[in-house]
Amino acid sequence: MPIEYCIDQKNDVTEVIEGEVVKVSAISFLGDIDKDKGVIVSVDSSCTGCSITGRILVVEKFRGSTVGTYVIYSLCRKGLAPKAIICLEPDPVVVAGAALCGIPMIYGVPKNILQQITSGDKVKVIPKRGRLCIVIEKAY
Amino acid sequence: MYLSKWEERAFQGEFGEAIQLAMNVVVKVCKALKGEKLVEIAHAHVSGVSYFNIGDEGLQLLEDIVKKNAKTLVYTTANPASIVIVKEFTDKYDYTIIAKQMKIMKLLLAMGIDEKSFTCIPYKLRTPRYREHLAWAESSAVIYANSILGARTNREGGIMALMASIAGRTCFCGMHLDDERNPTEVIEVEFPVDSIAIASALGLYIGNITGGVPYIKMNLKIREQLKNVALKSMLSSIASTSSSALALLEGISPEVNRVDRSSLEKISIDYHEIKNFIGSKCSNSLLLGCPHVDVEEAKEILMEIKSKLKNYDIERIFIALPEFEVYSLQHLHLPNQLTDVEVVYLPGVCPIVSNLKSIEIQSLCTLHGKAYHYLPRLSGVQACLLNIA
Repeated sequence: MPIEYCIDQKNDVTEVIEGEVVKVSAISFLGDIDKDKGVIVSVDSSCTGCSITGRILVVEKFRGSTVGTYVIYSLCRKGLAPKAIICLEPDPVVVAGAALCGIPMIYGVPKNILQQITSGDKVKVIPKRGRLCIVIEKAY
Repeated sequence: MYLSKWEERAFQGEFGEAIQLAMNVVVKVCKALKGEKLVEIAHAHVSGVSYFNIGDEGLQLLEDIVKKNAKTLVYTTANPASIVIVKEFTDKYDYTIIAKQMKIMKLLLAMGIDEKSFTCIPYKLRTPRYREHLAWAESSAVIYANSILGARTNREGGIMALMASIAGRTCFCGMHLDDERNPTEVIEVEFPVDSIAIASALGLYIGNITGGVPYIKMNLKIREQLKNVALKSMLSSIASTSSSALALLEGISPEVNRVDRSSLEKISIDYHEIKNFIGSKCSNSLLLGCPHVDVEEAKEILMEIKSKLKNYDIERIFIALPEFEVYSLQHLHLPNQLTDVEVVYLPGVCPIVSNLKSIEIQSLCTLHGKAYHYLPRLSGVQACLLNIA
């Protein structure tokens, strides 16, 4: 059975977003991702070797350099960007990169909801009358 | 979030694709920072100019923005480039790297930044007024503008500052608000701050202990001509070891009378706590100008250190300074004691954001805490803080 959580909409999401999750504990767009392949390379990210391309990237914590903005933009240009980013706290470096190339960014998602999501799950983000509902279909 | 009529129209694309893109980034970042509105700025200062810093990804973004006919809407300056463009070093770097560095500068100039740019002391090009709103992206310049000039700027990311320049606005949050500019603790310095290196060491230490906005009481016992270099070095050091954008310096910062510090924790610092930052000589080369110095400041430092260089076997001095100061170099009469020392000027560039191993530098002595902090991290060389001025 899919699990559904709804939160206050802070993110201007207007369309339904649906995709397979890649979840990481911590990530910097500079250094933790192979910028020519869109693959996570850092060993402490909890999903080493996972491709973020076309996936919904779920992030517990951002870290690292302000150059990350450029890397996100470059991933978009090469068609290697994630479909959307879901996180707890927004990082201005990542928000700027996502805004530059139109990647929906969903932040303010409580930790207990993020903890329910694991790599491989299917997630649907649905805007509903000022609220944002996240439907998680577990990959058992 | 509130947007004015002009901002709404810009956001909808009425003034072209570039302003729309810039507004989109500024508004989204502002929402993420919980800002409630934007504020018009008088001056933007952009970082991310070194090719070693932003790479092909940054160059590509700048190219795409210029193709969209992006123009600066307000007065804009930019940070120094990497040293690959300095004539003494051009044969040490691959031609494609030099070409890409030149291209980054050309693209920024095409957008309308001040052609005298490429310095980390933009307040020398245009001094911000008290309480003026800025969008600056160089931590050492940000903390100087807030602390010494009483202007208002957050530590913007390089891209955010560029987008703020194109939109003419930034997020009205953080340092733009009175409430965010109150001190977090009172720091009493128990020893005289009598050199640039001591000011640097003190700044590095304060950065490690501050809760955000230190209120600093100190005796700056240094000759008048070197005071500004000492202050720049101290503040940029605080900004290196912390995310602070403001330090309130008693007797110096224009805002000190505004703030209430009666209920704040008091922290005393004695000399033993900062002395570990001061090192012994680690190189025959000395770096001056982090942040950049002007020609007068360079002359004063050289006067101060001239008699000490032999004891330390210093053979070469690098001086990083704004490019527009090059025209004044002919008036710089080096002290006689410097005849055995090679002086290399680095106009419009910053060695810290450069790959220094390519020019066979393994280590550098410096007077400046920011250089000491970042040289090993960014340019791959060892550094030591030498207390000779």
